[in-house]
Amino acid sequence: MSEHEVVAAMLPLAPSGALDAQEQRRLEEHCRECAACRRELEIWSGYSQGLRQLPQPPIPAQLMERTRTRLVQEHAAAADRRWDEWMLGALALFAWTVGLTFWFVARIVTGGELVIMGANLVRFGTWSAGSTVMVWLTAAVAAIALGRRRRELRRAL
Amino acid sequence: MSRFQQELELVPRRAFSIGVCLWLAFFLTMMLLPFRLDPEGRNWPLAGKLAISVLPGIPLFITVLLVGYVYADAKRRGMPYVLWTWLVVLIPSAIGFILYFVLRDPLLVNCTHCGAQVRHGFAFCPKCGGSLAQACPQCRCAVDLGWTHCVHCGASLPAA
Repeated sequence: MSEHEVVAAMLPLAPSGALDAQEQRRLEEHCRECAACRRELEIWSGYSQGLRQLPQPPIPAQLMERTRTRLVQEHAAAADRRWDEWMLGALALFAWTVGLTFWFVARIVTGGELVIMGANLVRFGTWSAGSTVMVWLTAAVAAIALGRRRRELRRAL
Repeated sequence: MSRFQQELELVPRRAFSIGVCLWLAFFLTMMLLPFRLDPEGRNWPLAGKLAISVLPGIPLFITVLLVGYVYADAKRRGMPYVLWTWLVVLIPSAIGFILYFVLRDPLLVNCTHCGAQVRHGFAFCPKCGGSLAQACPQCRCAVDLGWTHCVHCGASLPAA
């Protein structure tokens, strides 16, 4: 990279005071000899002055803190969403495993026969129908109770 | 540390101990009772007896760990953790855990002013009053970026 190219890359930074003392000296020395860089430096200085004269929009109070809080919340929520997707898949599989294991254990413990009101409860069909009804009933009751509680909390807020 | 390890560390040590105890109790019960009661069971090979006694206890152990996880996780999210623990225990076939993961609240965040833990959606910190989210200038309720009017009081909002 030639000296001209190095200095050309510094030109936009010089008017805003972003160069250190050594870089600034290097730029000034080059600009004394190079008319093209001198012209470009004048153009960049004009831009910089123009930008300083523009009205500054008022920065809302505590914008930084609010943005930081929001970033933390969004990051945590995104991580939670990914984790929940995996967990729900694994739990669906686990729910099936638990259901089948209970049926299998019940069959072994009862010797394959547990007759109540004429129905053999450890037969696969009866067992799966009974456990499905029980699961849906308890889950529905829990969902209703939780929904009510959540509504009350929202009202309190 | 992976997310799985982080979440596993949440599970209380007590849950691991209870899980191991229950698994052992289950193993001994299965080894002692069904094969003695059932005349055909006595003729099973030892490997078969062991497999049937050991394997079904694993879902039981995992269930206890999941109960411990729900207890700790609901607590850190500011949810009613005792209620949730009972729900996941009482709802059969692990459906309570699925309900928990669908309905759980977002994690609490630290206030950037005082460090107190606050709920998602709060406009101000309940401890120090610091601003956490953009609020309606009229009713002071939290509003989302891009809204032109407050959904709570209808006041027009200044552009962010």
